[in-house]
Amino acid sequence: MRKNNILSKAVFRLVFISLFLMISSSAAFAHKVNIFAYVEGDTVFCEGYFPDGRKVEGGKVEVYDSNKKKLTEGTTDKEGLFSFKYSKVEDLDIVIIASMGHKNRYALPAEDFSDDDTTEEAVTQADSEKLSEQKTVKTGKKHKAPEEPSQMPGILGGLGFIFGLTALIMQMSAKKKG
Amino acid sequence: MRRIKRSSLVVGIMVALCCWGVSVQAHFGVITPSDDIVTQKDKKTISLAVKFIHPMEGHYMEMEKPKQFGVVAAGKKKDLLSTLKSEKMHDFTTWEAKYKIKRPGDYTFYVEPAPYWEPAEDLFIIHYTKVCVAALGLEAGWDTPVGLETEIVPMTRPYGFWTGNIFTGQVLVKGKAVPFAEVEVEYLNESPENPKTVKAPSDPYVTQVVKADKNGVFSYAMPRAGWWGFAALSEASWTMKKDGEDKSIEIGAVYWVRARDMK
Repeated sequence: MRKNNILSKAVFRLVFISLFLMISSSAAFAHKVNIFAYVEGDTVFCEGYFPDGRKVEGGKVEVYDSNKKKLTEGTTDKEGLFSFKYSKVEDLDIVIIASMGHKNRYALPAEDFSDDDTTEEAVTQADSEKLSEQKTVKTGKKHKAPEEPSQMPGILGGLGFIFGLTALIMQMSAKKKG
Repeated sequence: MRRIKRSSLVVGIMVALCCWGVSVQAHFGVITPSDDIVTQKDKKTISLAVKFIHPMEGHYMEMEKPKQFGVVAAGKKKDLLSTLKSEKMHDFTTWEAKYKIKRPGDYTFYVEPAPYWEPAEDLFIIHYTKVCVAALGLEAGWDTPVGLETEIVPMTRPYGFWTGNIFTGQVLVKGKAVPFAEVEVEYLNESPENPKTVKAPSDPYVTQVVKADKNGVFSYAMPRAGWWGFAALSEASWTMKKDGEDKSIEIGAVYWVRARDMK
């Protein structure tokens, strides 16, 4: 009877620990918050999201101008959305701060405020020349790692949680035995 | 059927070797974007090069205006055929389009070329070709099939590969898995990150061949940084007339992915 009890406890612990491992490891990735912003009419729309497509709910959004002056702030809704009316066309720095200090930013350039696609055409012409160059240029474009090291705290936090939990369980079972 | 095609290919090779002293390589439809991972700091307007070539050997073929060209993003299909502009590369017609990324997410670009008559193989070739561009950190949509006659649906996320990583995909014809499909793999020697043109010591090094399992799933590890093309070849259920005669059609599902060196 006692043997059975010990065995079932051990199994329970194992399941518990692996469950936490699973949760914390998926959360570590998902904690990489992203923000995207675009302009429609007189409004700037901001969207907070995780890489897998889930929305950032209740994320704090702060909007700064190029002089780092805070213009407005707010919170994302259930759809991860936050919007505000702009008074001036300028480069904006939009920061999202989600739970546990995970944050990211989006640079919304002043040219994105114009609705017409004439600028796009201009870019298109320049790009066309670039592409023909691309075939002869042998250096690849480097992709920089994201500047916000937002994944690390999540992973460390998760690991810490597991260790803490394991220690607690071990202590409890030791006490019982004692 | 495949065996018959192989034997005709062998005859073709021999004829080509005798007459012109050139070897036959695999044909590949190509779509390569100027950027496959668009981050905040990157230009949002990308260009897409569409062509029909032998990727490893760098030989070009004439490409007529494609039948279909478009993009699938956020589950929606968008026709982009009118944005294609013809170009001349090595005296052959290729195509190019610009596309402005407006929202985060995965963008799967696809092309269905006009049937290409290949006298050496006595058949038409149609390569349904795809490539995925990831935008602004929302990694969703890359595994959505476009719904082409035949296509490769990636089973590994098709971007962010390191050199040596394995690409796994599933081969579909009319939306159904193709058991034991044959997949040809070639390196695009003109890849921007290729420091030096790779010379194949013999023909088997030009085109790698892997076979899918019973679920149409295949894998291949990419040994060099640059673009890699995967072409799963099947025979079409219909034929086309050439000079009044019915000719078979090779339909290819082609997918392009890019690997980068760890530095």
